[in-house]
Amino acid sequence: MKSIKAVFPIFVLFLLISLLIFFFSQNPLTGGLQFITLPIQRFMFIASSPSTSTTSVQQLQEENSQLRQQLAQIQEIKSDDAALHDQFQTTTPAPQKLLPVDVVGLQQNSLILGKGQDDNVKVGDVVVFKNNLIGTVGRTTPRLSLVVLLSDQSTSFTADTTKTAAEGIVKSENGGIVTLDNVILSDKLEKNDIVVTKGDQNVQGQGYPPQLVVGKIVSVDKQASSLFQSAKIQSLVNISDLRMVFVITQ
Amino acid sequence: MLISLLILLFFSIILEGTITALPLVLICLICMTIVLRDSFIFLLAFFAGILLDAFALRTLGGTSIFLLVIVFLILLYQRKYEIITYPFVLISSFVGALLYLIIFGYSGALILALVSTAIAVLLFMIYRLKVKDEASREKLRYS
Repeated sequence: MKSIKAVFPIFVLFLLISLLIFFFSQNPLTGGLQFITLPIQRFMFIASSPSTSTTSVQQLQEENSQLRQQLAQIQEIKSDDAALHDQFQTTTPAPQKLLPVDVVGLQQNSLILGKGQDDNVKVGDVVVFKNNLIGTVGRTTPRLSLVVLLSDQSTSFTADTTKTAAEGIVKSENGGIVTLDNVILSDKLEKNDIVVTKGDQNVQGQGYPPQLVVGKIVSVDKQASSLFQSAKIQSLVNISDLRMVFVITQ
Repeated sequence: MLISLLILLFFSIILEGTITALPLVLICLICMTIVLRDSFIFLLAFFAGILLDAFALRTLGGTSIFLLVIVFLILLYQRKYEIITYPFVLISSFVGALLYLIIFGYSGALILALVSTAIAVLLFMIYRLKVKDEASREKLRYS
């Protein structure tokens, strides 16, 4: 092992390069690196998905494998087509505002989408699947964007229930549990009632549009001694199954 | 040994960048620093960090800075104390992973750090077994 005198300059050199990159050269480098990372992410996301896994016996049969690949491609086109068809039949949000985007990665409390600034995706854009709210765009690069899911701790917006019209604030607790909080005790919360966004868009069109489905109530926490009651919400969409989502562009 | 560790680091970058929240690259680098104790690990930490930032859409360079500091601290520590021991692997990987997960905003940091520590100890165990095996083979050759 080299002495500290030999190690220290190397450490300082790499630290300086890292700091320079950190503060000065973000966009050109990010764009270039995503040429490498995007195909890997796309491949790994599809490969790790349970719906595309095959048994080991089938993998050994060369001919079957080729046919299966063709079938998978056709099915993928069909499911994309069905998703597009479903989405554009949904009246809320308006179809002309929707940008279909492939999901290329899934991380803790976030999704990575295959479109970014080059496709007019902006920070704050709302992401939906059919009329289900998925999250908002938290960060964009030229070719990719990161969607902050509802399970993220930064989540906070007004919503109400469809059946009882109880109003509250959707929040996320540590551990990714989404709740409808700050509901006054006189309002009624019912299990299996659907929670939808109340709508809090500004003049520029940014923010959550109304009537997007947040999820269904799975349990209610009401205590007479508390000021407010709350309910746990479960999304109607399985995030890990999503292949394509829709960004509401302004 | 070096090649197998490099392959492991490569797969750790791919896995951490795409499908897992476990800090596999950090664990791999900590183990590499303990075993190899060479300054070229700074180069690996730099490039691994840049790639991880690109995968996770984080600000480029942030992960590199963290990884470089951890590698440097381990190299500093090894000058005064013996680091090829289970307690050191256990403590360094747990503290490193916990800091990493907290700084980069992962939820469930404690559980993830514990799992990461278990992986680090397992990797180190494999290394110790391999070294033992090689030593016994050498002994047989010269006897």
